[in-house]
Amino acid sequence: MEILQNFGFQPTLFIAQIVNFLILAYVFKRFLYKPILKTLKERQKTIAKGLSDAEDAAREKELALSKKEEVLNEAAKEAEKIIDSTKKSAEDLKEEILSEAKKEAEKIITSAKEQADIQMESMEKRAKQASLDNSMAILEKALSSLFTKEERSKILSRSVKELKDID
Amino acid sequence: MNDYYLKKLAASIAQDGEIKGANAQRVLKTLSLKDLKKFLSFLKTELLKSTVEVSSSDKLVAETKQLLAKKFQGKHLVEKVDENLGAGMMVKSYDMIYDLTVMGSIKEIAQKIEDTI
Repeated sequence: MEILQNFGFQPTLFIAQIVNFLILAYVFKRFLYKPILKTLKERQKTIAKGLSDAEDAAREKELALSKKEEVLNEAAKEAEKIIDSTKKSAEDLKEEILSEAKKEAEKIITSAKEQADIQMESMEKRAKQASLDNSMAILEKALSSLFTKEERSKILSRSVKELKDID
Repeated sequence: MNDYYLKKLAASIAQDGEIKGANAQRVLKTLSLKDLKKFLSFLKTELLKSTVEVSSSDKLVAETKQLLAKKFQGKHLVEKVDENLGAGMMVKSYDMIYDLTVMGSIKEIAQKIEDTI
């Protein structure tokens, strides 16, 4: 006790300080600590929510990316299919056009050959006919001076005889 | 007038190979335009039927003429000279042709050649 007094310890002051402390502790707890704690809790909640939202967003982003990848793959496959189909169609069309063109060309050639043959035949016929006509014309001209009067008389007599024998 | 009488009339008029003045007058006065047309058509046929055309390269001698007159009795003979016939004789009697000329023979041969072309 003497030692405590030597150090200036006064029990009344000490008790008063304890009371002061308790009052201060109560006031702090009542008016400062609780609102701060409440604010901290709310902030913690907001942060947690934010984190959760961020996680969700990241997950959704991942999902969207995956979906995008899937859609892109599908689209690429579809495009490839369309290109293949178009290529095939184009090939088929090309084949068809070539075949048609070949047939048409063959038809034209055949027709031209036929036409040429007909023309050739017609020309030959005309040439022969012209040759015959010319021969006839020459003969007709030459016929009047071909026979002598005696020969003509003989032939006429023979004609009269032939005419007599008819019927 | 019906066709039968028109034909008879045409035949009687064309008997000599020519239409005489009196007959022509009678026909022109009595027939209608329609009958006249028919009559002329019949007359043309009758004239052709009653005419024999003889073509030869030289003028026919009397003997040949007599022979032809005997063969085509009752028909009018018309003589033609055509040097292009060469020699021989061609007789045309309505729808009959007797071609006994050198030209005719040549034409026949030419026709055969033409047919084979």
